[in-house]
Amino acid sequence: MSWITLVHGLNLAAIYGLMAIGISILWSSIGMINMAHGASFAVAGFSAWQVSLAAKPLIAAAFGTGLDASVAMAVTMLATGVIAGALFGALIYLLAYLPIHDKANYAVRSLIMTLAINLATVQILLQLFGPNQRSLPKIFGFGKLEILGVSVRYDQLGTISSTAVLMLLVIAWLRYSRKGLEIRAMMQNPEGAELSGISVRWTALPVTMMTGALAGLAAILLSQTIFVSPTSGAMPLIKGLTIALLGGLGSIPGALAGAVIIGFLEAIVGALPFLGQRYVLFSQFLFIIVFLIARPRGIGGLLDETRE
Amino acid sequence: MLRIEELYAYYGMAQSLHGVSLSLAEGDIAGIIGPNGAGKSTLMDAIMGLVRTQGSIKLDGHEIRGLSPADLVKSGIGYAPERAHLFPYMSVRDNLLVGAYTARADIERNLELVHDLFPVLRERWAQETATQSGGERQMVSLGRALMTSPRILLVDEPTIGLAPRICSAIAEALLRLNRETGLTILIAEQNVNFAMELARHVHVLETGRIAVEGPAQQLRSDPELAKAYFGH
Repeated sequence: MSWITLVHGLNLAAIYGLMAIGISILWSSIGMINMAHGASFAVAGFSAWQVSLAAKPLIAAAFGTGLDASVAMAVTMLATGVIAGALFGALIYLLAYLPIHDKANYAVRSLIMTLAINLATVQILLQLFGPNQRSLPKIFGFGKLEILGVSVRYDQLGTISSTAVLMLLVIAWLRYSRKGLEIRAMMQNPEGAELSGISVRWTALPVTMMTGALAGLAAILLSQTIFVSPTSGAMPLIKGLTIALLGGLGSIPGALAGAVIIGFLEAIVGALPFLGQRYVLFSQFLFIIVFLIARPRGIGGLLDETRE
Repeated sequence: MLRIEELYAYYGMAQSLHGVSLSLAEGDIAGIIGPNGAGKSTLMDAIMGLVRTQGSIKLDGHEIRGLSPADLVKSGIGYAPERAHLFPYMSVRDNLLVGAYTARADIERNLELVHDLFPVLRERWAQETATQSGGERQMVSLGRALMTSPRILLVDEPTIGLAPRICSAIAEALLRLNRETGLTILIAEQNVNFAMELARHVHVLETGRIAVEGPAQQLRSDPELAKAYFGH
């Protein structure tokens, strides 16, 4: 495996990890398989695109065209993606959690509700913006950097490092904050959390907002290499969902490990001359199916067995 | 303090409690005993809003039936369920702190109380509960319920599968709690001797109905009842 493939794999792992962790946390804490996670991705992408159009002259007026302007635009894009994702997460909470969380068959109902939200959102985006793809400003700039003799594009470096920083922040928040303790309790045993006095009904709101924010960040990062479109959330949703399953739904370390494996698999299969990009999805699904047949609890199950 | 009247409970279409009525005075220790499947755990779950119910459950005269488990905890009912319902990959410390969600002002005082009752938890402070013994897990479950600053403590099958030494430690802790803090306790227990030692008032459940009730001493001294329910 060449170093270029390694960097490409890490770049993909970072983006898929953001999606998978959000899906995994949502499932384990509030019992929702969020089929609208892809819509959060697309809405965040379009929000950032709209804000970039509006902010460009303002930033140019304030900072000119130098490095300061690039940094201001990067911060604006990332903040917009995170905020738009979080707000869309709140909308999912209001539509697909709050009215039905205490009803029978909630898991199936919420799956159908979020699927409906996803389809409706795609249609609304198509209506508003048409089917054309839009490109976001390159927040990490153009060019390459030599690190230990390996050529790394700025966007790859930015994606990997910003994802790592955000992941550490999320994990630290979950680990050390009071709200994080409540969310971890909900993830490990929702009934036990409720019996400890934690209102699962209200704690679900910051969970949906946080996972929406992660999807929003993934949208901005992935849009550095692909375009924003109404359907741009479909593939990240599929990848995120399958990686969350591979990781063992509910396991953050499992989802991270799953994202790294799937990211590298994509990079390696895509780089092999006798396979190439057309076999990427096939090889990923084949790997996930075989792994889950052998280990139905996913990577998280393996990690739990090791701990116990 | 707690008054249950004509309580019916359902798991789906199956009815598990058939018009159970009982009351619990402040500072009392009451026991619910009965064979497997009698409805002891269902009664506890029904009080905690975990199953569908009909009838009335009043705490200090206020109807609490229909409240969510979280709201019941806020209203002063602590619950240590049969299945413990701990957070397996969290430390003992974090399990206890989760219980402090509704009583943050009392964290230090409650932690001191829990450590005083169960000193082993202070030693196992950083250990994940998944790796603990059944007895220690039961202590964490009781400790977590105490961290909610309850006025009534519901305890479901606290001795199930535990060694006699651990059962004695738990019995001693519950008695101390009642004696020193005046905590009202309702215990559902299949271990009749354990329940009879602790409880001042006992309710015998059979197939979802209260078959016999009365002061523990009186029930124990009735030869027919003793033979039928207490095996001696």
